[in-house]
Amino acid sequence: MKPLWTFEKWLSVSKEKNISLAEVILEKETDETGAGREEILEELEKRLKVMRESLERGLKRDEITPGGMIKDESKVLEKFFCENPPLSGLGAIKTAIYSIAIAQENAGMGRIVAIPTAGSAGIVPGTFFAFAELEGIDENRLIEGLLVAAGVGMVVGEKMEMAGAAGGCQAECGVAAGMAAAGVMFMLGGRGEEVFHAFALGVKNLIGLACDPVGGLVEVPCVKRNGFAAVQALLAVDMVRGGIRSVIPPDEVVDAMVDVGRSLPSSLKETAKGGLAQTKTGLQISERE
Amino acid sequence: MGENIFSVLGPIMVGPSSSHTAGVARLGKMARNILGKEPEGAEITFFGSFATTYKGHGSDRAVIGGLLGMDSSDGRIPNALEIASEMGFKYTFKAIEPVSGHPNSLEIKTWNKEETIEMLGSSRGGGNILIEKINGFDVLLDGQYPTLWILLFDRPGMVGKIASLLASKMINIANMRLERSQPRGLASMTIECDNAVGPEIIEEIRQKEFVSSCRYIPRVR
Repeated sequence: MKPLWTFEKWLSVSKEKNISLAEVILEKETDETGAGREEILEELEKRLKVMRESLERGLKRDEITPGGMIKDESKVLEKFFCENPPLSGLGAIKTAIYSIAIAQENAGMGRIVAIPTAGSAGIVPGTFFAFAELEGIDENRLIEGLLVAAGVGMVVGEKMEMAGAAGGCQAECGVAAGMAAAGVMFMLGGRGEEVFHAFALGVKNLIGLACDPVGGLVEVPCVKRNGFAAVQALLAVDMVRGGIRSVIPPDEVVDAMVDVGRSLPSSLKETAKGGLAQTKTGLQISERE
Repeated sequence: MGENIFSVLGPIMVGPSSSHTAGVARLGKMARNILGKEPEGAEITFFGSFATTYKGHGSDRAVIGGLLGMDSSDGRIPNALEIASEMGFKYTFKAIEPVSGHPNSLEIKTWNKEETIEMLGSSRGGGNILIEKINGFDVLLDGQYPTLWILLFDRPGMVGKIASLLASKMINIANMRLERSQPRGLASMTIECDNAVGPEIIEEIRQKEFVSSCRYIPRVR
């Protein structure tokens, strides 16, 4: 049997070969799929382009979604914060607006990249694009960041299915926040251990998150949650930059997610049988559907 | 498990749900590919979780989009119902909540002037699908491979004959499955291949005296 792909393994390959974390993932992909480097990089560029288009469309969106719960949240926020300083900071509000815009685009049947899932599609690109604008990050660096984010998803995917129905929202928005944190940390020049601790800190606070969408649709709480989870990824990066480390090692954090995912009752795993979906208002909305 | 970059970073799809939208578009496209010709109409029955949330997830648009030949990333999916009406494509939807099979399953009956086919399939998360029945015959197809669906008379040695014919054409078999209704009756054989199968090979299979019919089902992205 193939040995499990873990953060520890990833770090050791990077040290042994003296190549970056992004390069390890690129080499792993060429080895395992037989695809060429150029082919993979082109495909990544294509996905980055789809992500950017989904952001641009999402920022303009003001059409009500099929489930009738989401309309123009990102537009409203952007308008307000053009004139008013946000309490949460410029980086945070930009990240939230971008992530919500893409999540809205998903809810409204726009074209998106599921990363790792459709319901959490706003978090990685929202964080990346806001960060790139604020820090002047170029396209090539973003591609490297995407490779690292994908590598994180691959580590998690070895142990758990990334779907709300399988592990609750931690398996969608939780994983996405960890991927975003690791990607941004890498683009900032973070070394191996720092990158993985950004993942661990970003994910730990989302462990156990219920997947309780109203009417079973990817609208409430999903769209705004994309904004919250993305901001949390930024905070994880800042904590690591300041010198904080996760007490529980990154690979063990993944084990904890698997364990909690199994323990969560099925009513909180995308069935709309618990939580927000079963509130008085939640039920009224789903009957209207 | 065994993740690669693009299983985490993808698919590129029209939202909002990989199981209820992307997977359903692929199911629609599978039905189109099984029919093998431009369909003129369809009756779709949604079961289980699909029955309760198909409108909010746009599964209705997705399935029609797929039937019209759209991929799950096609930006026209949100307007698929309008496009269908303009083309004169007739469709009806039915929802039956209790489900005996997979919670996300649907049945598609689609036709053109010459024939009608019926397909039962389910959406298995992340845009993955499984076709369980075609025209009442049990099959298990995930749409990832170019597939041959052959109805043949259950006689000894038939499987070997088909396999060697494919081998002689350098077609490699990825998965193969045989189901029969009764001994010496009609058997259904599905062969998932690594490479595309040309029309002359399909014709050659059809010419075999023990073959009742042979259809080629292209893979669905």
